[in-house]
Amino acid sequence: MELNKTHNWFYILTSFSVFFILALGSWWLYLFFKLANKLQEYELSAVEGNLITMLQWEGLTFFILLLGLAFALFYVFFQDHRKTKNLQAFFSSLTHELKTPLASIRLQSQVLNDLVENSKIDDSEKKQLQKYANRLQDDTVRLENELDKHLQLSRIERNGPLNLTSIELLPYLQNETKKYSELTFNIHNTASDSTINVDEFALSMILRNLIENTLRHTDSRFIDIQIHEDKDFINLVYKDNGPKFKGETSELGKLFYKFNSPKGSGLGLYLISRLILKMNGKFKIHNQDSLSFSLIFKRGENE
Amino acid sequence: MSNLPILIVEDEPNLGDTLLDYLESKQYNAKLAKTAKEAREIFLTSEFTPYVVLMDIGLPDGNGLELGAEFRNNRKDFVLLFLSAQNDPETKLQGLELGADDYITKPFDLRELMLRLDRILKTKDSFETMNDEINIGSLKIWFKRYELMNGEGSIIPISQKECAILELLFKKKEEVLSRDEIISKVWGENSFPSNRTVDNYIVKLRKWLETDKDQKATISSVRGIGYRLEIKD
Repeated sequence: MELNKTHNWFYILTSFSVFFILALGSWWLYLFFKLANKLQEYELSAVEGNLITMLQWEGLTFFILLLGLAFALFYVFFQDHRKTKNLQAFFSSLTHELKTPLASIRLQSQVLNDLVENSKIDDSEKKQLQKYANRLQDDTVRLENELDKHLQLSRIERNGPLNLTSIELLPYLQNETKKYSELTFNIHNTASDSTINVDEFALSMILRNLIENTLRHTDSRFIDIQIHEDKDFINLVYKDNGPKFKGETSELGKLFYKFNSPKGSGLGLYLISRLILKMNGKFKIHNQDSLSFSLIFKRGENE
Repeated sequence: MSNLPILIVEDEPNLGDTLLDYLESKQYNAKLAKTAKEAREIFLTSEFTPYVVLMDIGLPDGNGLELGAEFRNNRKDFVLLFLSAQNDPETKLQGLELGADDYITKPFDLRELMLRLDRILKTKDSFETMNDEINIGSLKIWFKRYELMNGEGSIIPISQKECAILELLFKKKEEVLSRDEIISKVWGENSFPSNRTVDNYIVKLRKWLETDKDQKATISSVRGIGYRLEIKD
């Protein structure tokens, strides 16, 4: 379920309910007064002396109650809306504030690694120091990835724009996959031109999320990537040769959905689907012998 | 390594100091400004003339984007790189439109930054080998100043990438230069702009060449390969 769409629907529903309640209330009030007049016309007021006044007062009280209810409903809705917006802004600024010290830690661990590399200490000590410096770097990268997810989520929910540019997918993939020495990638390309129209940061996040899922949820270390063209689109199929997914495939890609797994935030696949949609593409999940993902990107313009 | 003057504008002390120490250890002539005021003093009034400015956006007494634009209005012959934790496309675009040569988001990879500085240094060294002023018909090129003069006599500032592409074409005039070669020499091996991006830069340079009434120079397309700069004697 998408937060923005939920809010839009809630807004429409609230407005409709309030309008309906007030229209009904007004109609009832009108009937009450009309009835009171008729009672007066038929001179029944002598028999039921307080009936007309009672009907008028009850009608007015009922209408005021309805107005109060409508106001309360609007108030609750706008409070909730404001709270959600504040929460999104809070997470966005918190994430942003965390990025600067994170950049500092990463920089210092890289400088440390470089200093150790060029120092005259013996090799075993050097290796040990570099091991810890590398772990520090790996952890900052992991933390950075998590922060990026939250930043992107908050940006997408606020309908933030993306910066679409033309990128050559094949060399981009070849370079990005080099960063994962623990995995073996088999990239098969049949597209004569793999230029796609994407936001480079969003593309890197999509790829990172898929690889992160493979590392987190499977024991497989062999990933097949196929790129082929289909008219105005470039289709990338990512298959990690992991086990078949036992949960409901249609639930995958929904916000915070985590099947039987204590790991992860439940944001990765949701963000992938939203980002691809924002880049005018499509995202499909297939669950046959193992999970595979089709990422369909709009072709970039080329000469 | 080099004596390339670099101004770091960064208010986060740990980050700024570490970057300063590291660049100094690599023989760069670096200075650190922790506020917009300090940066202005160094850039505008001191004898230190930075060739590269590494600019943070969120400064305690100002905005790095505005400061970058102010510096750019003052001087064209320096490379402006934004280093910021803000990675939203609007801010990035704003930074590039203000005349930045690149926008690096925090946390950044130190090796990546060093590669970029290395490439900037190579381009600068390459510009040093060129004549101060190059004349092609009524057109003029000042590579070291990052400026061109068009056929009507107006001075046009150009970006570092435009300047590097023009220099590459000029050095290999009458030869065909492939798009991949341009990308690898101007953007570096870890960037993946499409051929279309190169084409856009070529379109801009062609427009400038067309302002010369005698059409002394043209950039012709070689289908499926790339471009060739042809200069008539």
